[in-house]
Amino acid sequence: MESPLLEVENLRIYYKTASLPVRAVDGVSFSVKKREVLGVAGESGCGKSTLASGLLRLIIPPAYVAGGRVLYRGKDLYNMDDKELRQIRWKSIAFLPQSSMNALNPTMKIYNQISDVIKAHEGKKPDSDLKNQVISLLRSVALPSRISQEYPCNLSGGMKQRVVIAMGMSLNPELIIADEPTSALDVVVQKGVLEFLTDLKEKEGSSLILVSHDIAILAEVADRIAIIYAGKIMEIQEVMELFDEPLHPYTQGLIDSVPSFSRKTIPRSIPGLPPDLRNPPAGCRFNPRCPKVMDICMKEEPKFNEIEPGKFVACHLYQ
Amino acid sequence: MNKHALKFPRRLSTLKFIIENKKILLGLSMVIGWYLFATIGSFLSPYHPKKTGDCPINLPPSWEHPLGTDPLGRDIFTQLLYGSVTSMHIGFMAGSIAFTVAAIIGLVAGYHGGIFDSVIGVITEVFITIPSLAILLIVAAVIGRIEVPTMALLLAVFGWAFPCKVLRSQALVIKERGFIRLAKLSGAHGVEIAVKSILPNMLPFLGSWFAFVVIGAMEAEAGLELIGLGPQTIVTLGLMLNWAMKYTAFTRGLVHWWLPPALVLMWIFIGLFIISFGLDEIGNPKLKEK
Amino acid sequence: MKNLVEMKNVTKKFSLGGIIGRKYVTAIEDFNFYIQEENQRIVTLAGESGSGKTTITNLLLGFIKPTYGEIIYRGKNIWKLKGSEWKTYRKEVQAVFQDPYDSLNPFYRIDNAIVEPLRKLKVAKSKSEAVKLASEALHDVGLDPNEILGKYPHQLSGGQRQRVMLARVFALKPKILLADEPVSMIDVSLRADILEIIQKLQKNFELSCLYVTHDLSSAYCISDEIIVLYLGSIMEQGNFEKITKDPKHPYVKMLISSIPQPDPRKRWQFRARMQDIEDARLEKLVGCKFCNRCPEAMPICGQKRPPLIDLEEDRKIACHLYS
Repeated sequence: MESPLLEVENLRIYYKTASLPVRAVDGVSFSVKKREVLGVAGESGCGKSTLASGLLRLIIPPAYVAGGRVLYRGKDLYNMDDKELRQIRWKSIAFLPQSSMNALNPTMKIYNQISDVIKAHEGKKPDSDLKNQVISLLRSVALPSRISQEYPCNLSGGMKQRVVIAMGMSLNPELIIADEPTSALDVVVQKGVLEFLTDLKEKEGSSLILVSHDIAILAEVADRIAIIYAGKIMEIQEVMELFDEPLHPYTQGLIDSVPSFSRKTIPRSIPGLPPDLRNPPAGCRFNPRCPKVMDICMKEEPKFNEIEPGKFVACHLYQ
Repeated sequence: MNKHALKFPRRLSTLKFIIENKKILLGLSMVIGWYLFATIGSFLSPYHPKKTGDCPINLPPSWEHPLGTDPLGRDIFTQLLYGSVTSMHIGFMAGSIAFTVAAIIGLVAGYHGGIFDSVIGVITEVFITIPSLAILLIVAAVIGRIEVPTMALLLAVFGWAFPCKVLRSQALVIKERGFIRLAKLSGAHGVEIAVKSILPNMLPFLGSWFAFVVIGAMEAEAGLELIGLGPQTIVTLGLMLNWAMKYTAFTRGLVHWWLPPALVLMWIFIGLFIISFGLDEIGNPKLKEK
Repeated sequence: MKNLVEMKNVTKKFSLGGIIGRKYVTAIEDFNFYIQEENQRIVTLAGESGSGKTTITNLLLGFIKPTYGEIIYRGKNIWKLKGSEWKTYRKEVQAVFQDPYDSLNPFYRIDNAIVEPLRKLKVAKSKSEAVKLASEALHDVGLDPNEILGKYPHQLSGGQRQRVMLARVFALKPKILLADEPVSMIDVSLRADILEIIQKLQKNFELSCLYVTHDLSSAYCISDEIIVLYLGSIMEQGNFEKITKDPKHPYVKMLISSIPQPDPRKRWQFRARMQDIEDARLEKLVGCKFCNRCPEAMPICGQKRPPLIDLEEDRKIACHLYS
């Protein structure tokens, strides 16, 4: 068994507020193997974005880490000095935040933005080498070389997103964490961007953590999927098994609520609303909305267990 | 419960919101506090701020005369009190005129657009680029002794342009918001949308700029008075400084004479600034709030 | 059968740039569309960004004027309507927009959004009647009036706000509803509720709905017909089922095959072919708008624009492969 690339152990990230802290990520554990696409599915407010930025310690106050570890190749990212962490960021692990296409500097040409990233991590290089590297990066995301001389405002959303992906790939990271990389994109462009991201798995051997609210795109590209609800992971399974036989009722509800071309009728929503993370329900956080709720669900929180090899679930139905 | 809901729009809760903000509270207490103190004080003061020979001349600070007296025998502290009230009156008057004009024109220009907007745009640019203080000085010098209302008007003339431009941009931004489309779909027309839908959402912004406009007006007034181009008929803080200058209080180190008016002006400006920052805070979180 | 609303040869151009170097973007070109008074149905107007669907919505709602062509309501050009005729048009053509966080005026309570139009458009004769209608409408969309009336927008969730917008439509009882991406900003697991309400609206009040979206999966559950737009022109239109199961137009084929489906056993087969389109709208394209990206382009595609023809019953297509 190959050792995992990234291991998250009981990570807790909370937000300070005037009253109780918001428990955005409340005891999350999972691992990512090499050459794998792990999908993280969850709806708004479930903590998935906080988790994504928290993996690389990219959280800013009022968010703070309340506990847990994130091990990259065995080293705890939360227990190393800034210098070492900076080396790992971008070079080994790249992070593409939500709406990252808006993070491009509007006053700099694309060429300079990409080359800056390269120079910052690989030191000085002769200009011709740098230029070749930038052009080949752009080509790998199917952008013509003339793009390097453009400013972000002249590019469409899809093009900007691809530029950001190119920047993320520039240092050949082993792991890419992408938070909703396609949410504002047209459907055809979305497919292209997802294909590029997953190509990295084949070509470079990288792994990808793909965070999204759209379980359909995860069905298309992920190898395994983790389902997050109210700051906790409810289920992790291989993608085929998750869709064939979802374990957790929330997973089932999520799959049932997604429209698809295979059924002409309106799907079924999950009744109720996600809980307030300052004061989540006692016991299992999904219990107010769960169609299979039992007495114990309202008192005791279910443990997150591996009930069979590769199948993880936090639900009293399996305990 | 439903019936009540229809009777009271946002006003009451907005007021509460405003008072809860620490900055606004601080600023308001600074400005209103001093205003009340000066008003009451000027009533209670046994001295006259302008009558020469009211008191012995050139007295240093003492219990009867906390800031001493000036070479014409007037109690400086009384002058400070009367002067504060008058300066603030002029500032608020001029500020209000300037601001009202700026707000109406800015709102209409922003909402309607078209030729009206282009014309207003040119006019405001002209007013902004003209060095207003210089023109003010020239006008004041040419006209000679000007009365208080004229001065307030003059100040307003040069104070309206920049806020107008800013308020217009803000109106443009709000015009693009989704609820404006909904207002149109509900049958509302131009002016009604501008007043009922856009204006209320600009209130913090408007309040913030009002504070700035008042500061500008008071500053300009003090500046004119200092140089001797003001009405000179009533005591203002600027006039006090002018007298101090004329009687070489600066060079003679009569700190008790020239420093207090300057400090009071600063106090009021800072108070108004803090109010406008506080209003900004209220305005912005709402836009970010989701 | 009379047409309720009709768009006749509508072209809309927007100008970019100022006095110097002005460029024109053609958002939609020679667009024809109609909705009949009887035979109400839900039509999906599908297209990606730049397709012109937002422009069409704004034109139908009377927010912008067409550059060429006419928007006709009950036989009259909407820009020539006055008085009660205009009020009728205003009441009968309503909309729900995409962003529930932006659609309600934060300064006023929720009541305002529903009660105001009832009074202005003379649906209710008095305030108390308006409140009664508002309460009923809130019930119809699954909200408790006591929970909702009296609150401010920021006190409600996105899903609740979107329902309030639909309650407003319920109360006004229009003839045409334009739903512009009504669920794209709602959580996936809560979208079905909104779609159900739209379907209920359509059945109960016999209104026609133009469902504008780029998310065909959600449109599929409630629509009967689809119009696929690309850069301002119709590529294919007709029965939704037919077109999704067996698309003929190369663009529509590409579109349908790019839609992610929640079934890992039916993954994407073909690679996406990406080219970016922002320049295309500015050029004076003579031929078919899709020819630069089309895998089946022929020489004629670059020279002549394909006309929209009837391919079979319930399907029209604009493609030289079929004409």
